[in-house]
Amino acid sequence: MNDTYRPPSTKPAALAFLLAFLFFSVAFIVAQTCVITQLCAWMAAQSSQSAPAFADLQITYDSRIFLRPLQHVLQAFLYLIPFFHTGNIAAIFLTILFASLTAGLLILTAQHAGLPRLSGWLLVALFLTSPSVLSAVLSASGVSILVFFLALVFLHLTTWKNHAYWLALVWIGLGVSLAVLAQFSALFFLILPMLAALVIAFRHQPENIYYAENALWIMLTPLLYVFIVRFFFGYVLEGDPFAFSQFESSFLQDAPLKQSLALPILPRLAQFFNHTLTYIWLTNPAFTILSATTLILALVKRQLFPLVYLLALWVPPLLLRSSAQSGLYDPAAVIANLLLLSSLLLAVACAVLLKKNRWIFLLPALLLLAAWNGLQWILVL
Amino acid sequence: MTVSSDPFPAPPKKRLGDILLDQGFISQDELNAALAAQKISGERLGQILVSRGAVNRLALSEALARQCGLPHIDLRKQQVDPNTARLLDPDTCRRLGCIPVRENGQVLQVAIVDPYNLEEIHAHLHRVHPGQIEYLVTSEFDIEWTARAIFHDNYINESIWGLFYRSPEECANVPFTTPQIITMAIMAVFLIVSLLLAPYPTLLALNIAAALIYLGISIFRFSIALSGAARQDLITVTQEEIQALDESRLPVYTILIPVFREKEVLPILLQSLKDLDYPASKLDIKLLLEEVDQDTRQAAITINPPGNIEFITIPDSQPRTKPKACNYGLISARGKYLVIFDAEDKPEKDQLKKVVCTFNKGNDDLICVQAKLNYYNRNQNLLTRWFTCEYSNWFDMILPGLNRAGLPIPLGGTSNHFITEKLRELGGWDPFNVTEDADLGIRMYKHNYQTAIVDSTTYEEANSQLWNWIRQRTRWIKGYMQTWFVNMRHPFRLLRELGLKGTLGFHLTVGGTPFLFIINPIFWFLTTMSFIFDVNLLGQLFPPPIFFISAFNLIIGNFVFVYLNVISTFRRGYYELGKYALLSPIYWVLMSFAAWRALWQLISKPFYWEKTTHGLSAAHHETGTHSQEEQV
Repeated sequence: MNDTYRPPSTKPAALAFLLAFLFFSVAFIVAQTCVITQLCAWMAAQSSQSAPAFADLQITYDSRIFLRPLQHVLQAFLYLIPFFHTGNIAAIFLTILFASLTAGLLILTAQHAGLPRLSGWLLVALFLTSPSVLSAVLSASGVSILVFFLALVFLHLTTWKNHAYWLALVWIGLGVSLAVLAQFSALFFLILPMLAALVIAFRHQPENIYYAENALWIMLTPLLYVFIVRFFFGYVLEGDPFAFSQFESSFLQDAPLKQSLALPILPRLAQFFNHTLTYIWLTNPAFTILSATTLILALVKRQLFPLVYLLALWVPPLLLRSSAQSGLYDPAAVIANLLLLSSLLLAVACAVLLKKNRWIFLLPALLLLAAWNGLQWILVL
Repeated sequence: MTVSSDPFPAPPKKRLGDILLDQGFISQDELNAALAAQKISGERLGQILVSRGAVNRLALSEALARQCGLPHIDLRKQQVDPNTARLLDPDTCRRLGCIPVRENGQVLQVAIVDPYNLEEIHAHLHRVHPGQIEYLVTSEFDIEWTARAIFHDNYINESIWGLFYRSPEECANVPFTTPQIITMAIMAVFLIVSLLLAPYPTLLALNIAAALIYLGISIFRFSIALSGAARQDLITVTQEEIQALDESRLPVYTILIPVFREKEVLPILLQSLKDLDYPASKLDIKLLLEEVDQDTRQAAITINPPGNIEFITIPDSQPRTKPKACNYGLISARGKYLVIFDAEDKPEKDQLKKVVCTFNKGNDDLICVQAKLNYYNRNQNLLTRWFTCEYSNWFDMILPGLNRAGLPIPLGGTSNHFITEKLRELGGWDPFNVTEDADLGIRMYKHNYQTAIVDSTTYEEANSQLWNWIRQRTRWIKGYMQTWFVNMRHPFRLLRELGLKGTLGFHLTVGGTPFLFIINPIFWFLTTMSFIFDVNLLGQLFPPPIFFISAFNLIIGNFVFVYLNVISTFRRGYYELGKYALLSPIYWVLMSFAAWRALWQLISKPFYWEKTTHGLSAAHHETGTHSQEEQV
């Protein structure tokens, strides 16, 4: 166990978080007040959407709240403060909060990878200016909550691999379990990163089986606890250990929410997704190109980890592709956000693989992502 | 030799080593080895030979007397006149290394340790006795022994009432003061009346208060633990810094080892002391034995320890507690630094040097360094595994977190290293407090002194028997309660002395620990009732916001504490214990039992020291001694 490793300063990440929070908040206010230009009109349309992931009902303060998805629990917390009772303010706040935290994570990703400081900020800029991110934030869909936890897992998987730092395991464990709380099917997305972390533990100390066992417990404990809370409480309170799943699925059957989901989240882009959802590689060409680059580089460098990483990034969209709905979310919105995040993470992974001449790769990769952002905006507007 | 005008001995004609060699006390090899050690440590040859066990102190003093041409006296056989001895006070006797023995006509006979350092002694004695003075050479331990016999009452008084004389408000000689009893009585009456007149609002108010305090403690513990674990210690010492220490400049280090009915662990103790990487001649080791415990005393004599280990017998008196024994030892401590070890402790070899470096790097306010504690018999049974998880969490995460946050640190039971003079100024340990170490940590903070945590571990024996564990835990929790009540005699003064941050830290740590264990069974009962009978049975007591906080405490709070234990095993490198940490909630049930027992004892037997039996680990029974490397 490496206890001497000290993670990089979190100050730049905190700054990125604050800037992102400010950016999204301003965007939301602009959307509410200005409908002059086409962009503002689009933003206003997004911000007028209902918040699909959140409970459009009175939060009941009994034990059953813990059978509900994480979004509702957080909402219930916020509802303790009267300010958050108004309109969708709790949903908006939570969505913006987690999207901003993801921006902070991108800075940390670049720092952990040892990339130049500027590259982290460019990743943040690409994230903030993506129409899929902005759409998810303005519609207060809550997608950013799930995306944040996935990003957390992938970031710390790399830290665990490179530094064998105990806190990375903690974050992987917490990230997975919170993602599962936000959406149960996330468990299936995240089995692979957890297994990867376990295999890495075996490779860190192959002679000590207890090392990997303890690493597994650190990752599993939060998840086990989530299951205890879900299954046990479900059984005790509702007589059904899977009662929590009803909260997730029945929620979507509520009339107002059905209506909100029926509304096009990102009209032309959603249409585009619906056509291409079965062809996941066409959904985000930048992601496909970066995946191919990672594959080639990993093979050339004979590195296994980037391949596992790549596979783990492909699993969620592939699984989501076949589902008609994704927990509380519209799968199209989740996929769009996940692919963007995955593209950014792959850009970092490729740059790390190259070691020298990172900018020679990073510059075209970031330009590619910027071009894809631009193309999406053209489609939207 | 009668001396008054010129009492000082002539320069020696023969070297001490040669005298000892001629008399057959030591071999040539032992002399050569001691001379080699002298070149490194710069210590006196006699001290080195004694600390290596090559020669005893009596033989050394005889040789010294022969060398300087002064008569020798064996104080254990010769009668000392108490009235003459009282010409000097005990502090002066210890400081100067002398004691007046008797008056022979006009001649005052004085036993001395060092015949080559007579100027100060002579000047001092000349003031109390203008006549002739005869100097007799004796051993240092004999001076100490005689002083303790002559000034018996002073020693006992100082060790029991030393703190009380200096600061009665900080001494736990009474568990509750009169204002505290009145306040508690008023509160109890108010509570009963409220329950009778308005039971629901009263219970609701109690519930709200408990839920909020619980929430505060949970958040505090979690944030402190993560901060302590994820960040570097405030003062770090590298191996290079330890190696760069000049042994000849290392100060004398006093090691106090209170022992009571622990003869089984003495061989381990001896081995651990031998293993310490510190010049043996600069170790002033005091084995503190209780007068009533003749078995341990005989066992200690039988193992024939080296001459730098002094046996000090603590006269039997109440309270018969470890802090009283430590205070008794503190009186005659010679070291610049002082540390407490328990008899079964196995400190890491370089701990003393690491602490010296830490003191050197710290500022003037740093007067205490706490080493980390952990267990060598962790895999003995489930109880020792849980105990190890708990200690790994407390010493590796919580205490460094408190240190980093600049909050008061309740010291651990052993391996607290002090600057001796500062400890004396503070009045030593409170002999009436059953967790005197935690109390001292708070007292130091109140006096604006700092404590640091050093990254060095002392391995102890984890309690492996359930009832023995409950007794020990009862004492610890009772001690925390005592400490809390002592410091809460004047809440506003406490706030002034500790500051807002320090006061909060004090309440959440010292007050919070017993509170959690006391309150847990009540909440467990309410939760169980609500599951068994009706979900809304207790709904009235849990209006929405309070329900949410309580549910958060139950679900997230429990998870956090279990998870911290799992993490701490990984950080400590005790990978095999991770799965046992998941069962920690069962351990908490035991803690709660001990807490209720402690509460009862605080009222019924506040000063009762429930002795923990040591030497129960399988390791002791199997081999007697295990090297640290084997265990860790």
